[in-house]
Amino acid sequence: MQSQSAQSQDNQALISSHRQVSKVWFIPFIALAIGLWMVGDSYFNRGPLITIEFADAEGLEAGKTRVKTLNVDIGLVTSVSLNPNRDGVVVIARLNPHTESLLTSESLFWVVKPRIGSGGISGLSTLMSGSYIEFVSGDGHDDVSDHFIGLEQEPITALGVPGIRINLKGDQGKSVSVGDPVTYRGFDVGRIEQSDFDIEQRVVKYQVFIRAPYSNLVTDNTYFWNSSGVSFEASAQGISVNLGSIESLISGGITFDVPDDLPLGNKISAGTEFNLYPNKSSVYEQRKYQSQEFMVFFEDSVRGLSVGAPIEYRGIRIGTVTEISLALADKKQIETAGLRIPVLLRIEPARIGMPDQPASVSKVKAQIETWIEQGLKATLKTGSLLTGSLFVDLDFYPIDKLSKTEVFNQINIIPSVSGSLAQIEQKVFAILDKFEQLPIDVTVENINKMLVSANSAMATMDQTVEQLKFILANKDTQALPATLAQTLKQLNTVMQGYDSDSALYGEMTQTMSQLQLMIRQVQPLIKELNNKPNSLIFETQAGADPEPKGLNNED
Amino acid sequence: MKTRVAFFVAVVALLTACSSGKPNINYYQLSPAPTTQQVDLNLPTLFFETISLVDYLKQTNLILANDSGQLYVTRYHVWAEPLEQAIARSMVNHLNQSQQKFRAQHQFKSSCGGQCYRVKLLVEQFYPTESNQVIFAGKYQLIKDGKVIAQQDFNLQQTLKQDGYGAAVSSLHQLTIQLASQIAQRLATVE
Repeated sequence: MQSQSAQSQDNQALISSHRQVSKVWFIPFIALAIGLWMVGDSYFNRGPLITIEFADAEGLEAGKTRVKTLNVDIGLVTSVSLNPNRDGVVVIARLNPHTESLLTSESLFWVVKPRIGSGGISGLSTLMSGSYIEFVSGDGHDDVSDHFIGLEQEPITALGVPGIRINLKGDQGKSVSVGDPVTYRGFDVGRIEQSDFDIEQRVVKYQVFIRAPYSNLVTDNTYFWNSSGVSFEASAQGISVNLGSIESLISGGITFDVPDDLPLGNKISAGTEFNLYPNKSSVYEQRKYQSQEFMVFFEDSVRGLSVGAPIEYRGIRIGTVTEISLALADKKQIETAGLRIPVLLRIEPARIGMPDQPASVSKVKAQIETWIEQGLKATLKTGSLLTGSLFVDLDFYPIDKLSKTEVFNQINIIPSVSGSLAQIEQKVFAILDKFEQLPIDVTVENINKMLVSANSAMATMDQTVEQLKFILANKDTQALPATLAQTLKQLNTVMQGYDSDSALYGEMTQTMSQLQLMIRQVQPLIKELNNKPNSLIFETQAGADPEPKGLNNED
Repeated sequence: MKTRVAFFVAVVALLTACSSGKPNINYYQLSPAPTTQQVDLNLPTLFFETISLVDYLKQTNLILANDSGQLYVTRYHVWAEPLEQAIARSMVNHLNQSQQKFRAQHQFKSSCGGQCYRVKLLVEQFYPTESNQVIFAGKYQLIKDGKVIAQQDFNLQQTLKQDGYGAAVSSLHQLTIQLASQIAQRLATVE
């Protein structure tokens, strides 16, 4: 256009002033406007700037470290600096535009870097790419924030996963740590999220997350126990070995279930606290039941008896020892010698199949009072010869003066009897006492005297034996057996003379029979003389004998 | 001296005067003499070892019983030998003559050799009666090796046909023979 106007001026010389600003200057203005628009647009459309606090800045680098969520790059670390207290670092990152809605007070940040831990190896990809900050948005949409506390490591449970969080309380943190699995009958259903030591209660507390739908498995009758490692159990059925999953074998874990003898129970709310038992058997051993307390005073030593020791009736567990302490006893009793050791027992009816209710407790109390009168007594017995641990055994013994209900500090007393081992000990001591009382000195003295007498007796005997030897050596004595034999021989000959076949025997028999005959013949004479003494001189006028009559001659 | 002789003669005369008109004593033998008989020594032996008499029979005089059961001991009729020997001998003689199954023997010897039986006999009645009867009653035992194998009571009677003690003794002899036969039969059955 300018060239056209110049040509027309050459043809018609028109002179005009040059006061107008050259149009060429619009170009820079336009450029400036565009620049301003771009700057403005860039400023007003930039993403939010957030501040994250970390314990240290390992792997973090300003201008290089990215911020990612679900592996999508949403920002960049702009600066890394120490906090004012110098006990941590402050990381400032600029996120991409339109990410403000993700930033809530529940958003979580942590540094992803190569890690090798009990939970496994993670973050290997960052070896090449370098560490980055992982970010998970929270649920609280209304509560927008730009200041966050970074996590030390990846959260155990991803945010938004449905499930339930509960608390466990245990005596020891043995082989259970954060990240360890929670299993139900061998199936992985959750994780241990936190572990703390409660200084006041002196217990270890765990926060456990159980995923839905498995969270429904946890009821108010559920018991948790440590399933770490390998457990051996020797019973009448043989030896059983319980192995958890490989993961729990290496790193430990917790499992839970409802005991067979309990109903499933009711659902629980989040944050419910449960006890953590060291193993499965201790769940049955140490469970808390409705119970009735009884007191036993033992004469025997209670060494080996511990709190929690079982109370058995003929091998069936019916309760637990709750307290062994002299402090339970009366002050007056403490002053007396031969003090018996008070032991507090808890009889738990639920252990013998009765419902775990107060009614069962009162029933068992009444029953035990009756049994006490029938001779029920407590005794200490050895549970394990290896460890010397004791348990309290209840059984019936002969009724004696102790078999009556007595009360001590409002607690009924079960009478006690010395254990078999203690009884043997007492008997052995009694025997030893008797030995001690034996007059051993006097006895030994007497034995010595006796030995002296025996010596002299032996000397006398030696002398006698010498004399006997002399007598035996005599020829007359030696001839004695031969003479004796000869005499016997002669006697034999003589005796043969009196044999039934011998002439002498015959003669004797004959003489005897003659003598007999003579006596018989003299008999009538003696009778006659008895009747008539003078019949020898004056003849008796006796007629002829009457004759037997023959049948043929009968008149 | 003369006076002494005269006194002795006077006494004898006096005594002999009292002993006139007295009946004679008759002696009786139960069994007659045995016949000649050889006995086989290999036969089993039967010993009539012990023959016991009840007390009233232990005398030499014969006994007579009247009808009312009274016993009369005769004065002038006597056994010629002890009655138990007479009975035993009578039975032994009869058995050895009448059979050949065993030999009978009077006296027991401990060494009899082979089979050996013993008879124990108790005689309770052995007399004639006035009512024409002769009675032999009692009991016997058969013994083998010290064990009683049989015991039997017996009561044998025979009618007396002739008068007098001679006939009565003969009948008694017959009764002993009868008993010996019974014993022999019994022994045959128990064997």
